[in-house]
Amino acid sequence: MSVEQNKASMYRCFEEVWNKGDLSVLPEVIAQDYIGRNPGSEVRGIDAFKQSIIAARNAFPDLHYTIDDVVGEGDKLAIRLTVQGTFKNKYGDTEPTGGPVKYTMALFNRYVDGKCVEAIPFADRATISQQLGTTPSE
Amino acid sequence: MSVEQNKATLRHMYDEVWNKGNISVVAELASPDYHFGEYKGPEGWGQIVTMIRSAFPDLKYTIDQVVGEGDTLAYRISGEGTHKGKYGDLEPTGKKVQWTQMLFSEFKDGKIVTTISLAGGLDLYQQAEEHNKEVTRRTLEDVINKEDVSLIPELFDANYVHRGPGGQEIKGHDGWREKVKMMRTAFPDIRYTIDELVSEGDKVVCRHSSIGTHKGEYAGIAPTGKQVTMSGMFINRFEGGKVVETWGVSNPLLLYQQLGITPPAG
Repeated sequence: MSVEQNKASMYRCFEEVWNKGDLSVLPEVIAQDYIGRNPGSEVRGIDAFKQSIIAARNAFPDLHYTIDDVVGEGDKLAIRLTVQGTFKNKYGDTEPTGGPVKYTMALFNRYVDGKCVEAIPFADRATISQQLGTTPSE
Repeated sequence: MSVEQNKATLRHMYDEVWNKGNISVVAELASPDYHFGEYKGPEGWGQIVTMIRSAFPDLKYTIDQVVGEGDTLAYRISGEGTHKGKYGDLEPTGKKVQWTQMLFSEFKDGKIVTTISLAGGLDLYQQAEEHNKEVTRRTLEDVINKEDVSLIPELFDANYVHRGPGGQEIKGHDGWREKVKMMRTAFPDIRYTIDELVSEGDKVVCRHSSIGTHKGEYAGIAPTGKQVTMSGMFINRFEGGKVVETWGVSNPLLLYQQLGITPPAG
């Protein structure tokens, strides 16, 4: 698959799955053995990834990702995004603030057959903690 | 310039500028239009490098992955270094820290114009706070519960001072050794439990409880053989990764009550 096909797959994942909550698209854009290498907690497999989307969209019902920049080469995409949403329901152990959250994050993704097999996320964590009302050590 | 040339420039920048501190090379790699926040031009970049290398003199970055398209390179790096100088408002912890970052750099005519940086994993503040919590935990669980006084120089600064509510002080490593000896003589089975640890900046707040059998003389009170439970709180302040000052409060009245004696008047 070409870089352009990987980009198309990535855009569908954010626009249809994350932003609109259409989980039926997930198997077309995410590999069964997907690994999200989140700091401290890995998301393994498409089902775990689906659960993390449901949890995030439940906590932030108006969750919206905007793709700010994409750099593709070979089987990889580097993506810079802006995430925003209103923190309305409990997320993990964190109580909702009711207020808006907006921060920048980035992903280093790897694709096989046009599906994402691995994602390594990076984020402006200090800003996130501040907006979620948690201290950075949480 | 091609993506491959930009990658070569990037590698050169990490080898020479970041890892060796060779600031003179910056002018070759940074565009005159370089900007990163308030830092402008090659001089601005030199300032950033100098600032970070003074906080971590043995700074070593490794480029883990790079992809490029057009004038942009996106890359993941791992950094490590010993935190020996002030970083932002974080006082040096003396601790070796590791972190990851993802960056996007724009190139113009083969030179870097601007960079956007995002952090991965625990940031440096969090690592320092976690370290301070761990040290605090060990002062109770290893030094007192396991009576391992050999750890005292590793956990406490040589200029350590413990300040009690009445102005009483325990000073230095010897002061701590005596405190442990006194407590374990009075309560040989003493066992501290940490009920809460909160870490922020250079301080850790610890709420604790303890249980022990009064088998030896304690503060002039002959052994009663009674089992007592105690609780208290203290704040540890850290410098260079070690505890340098403690402010502690406890409730001695509870102890006297449990021992079945009248507390000294006054």
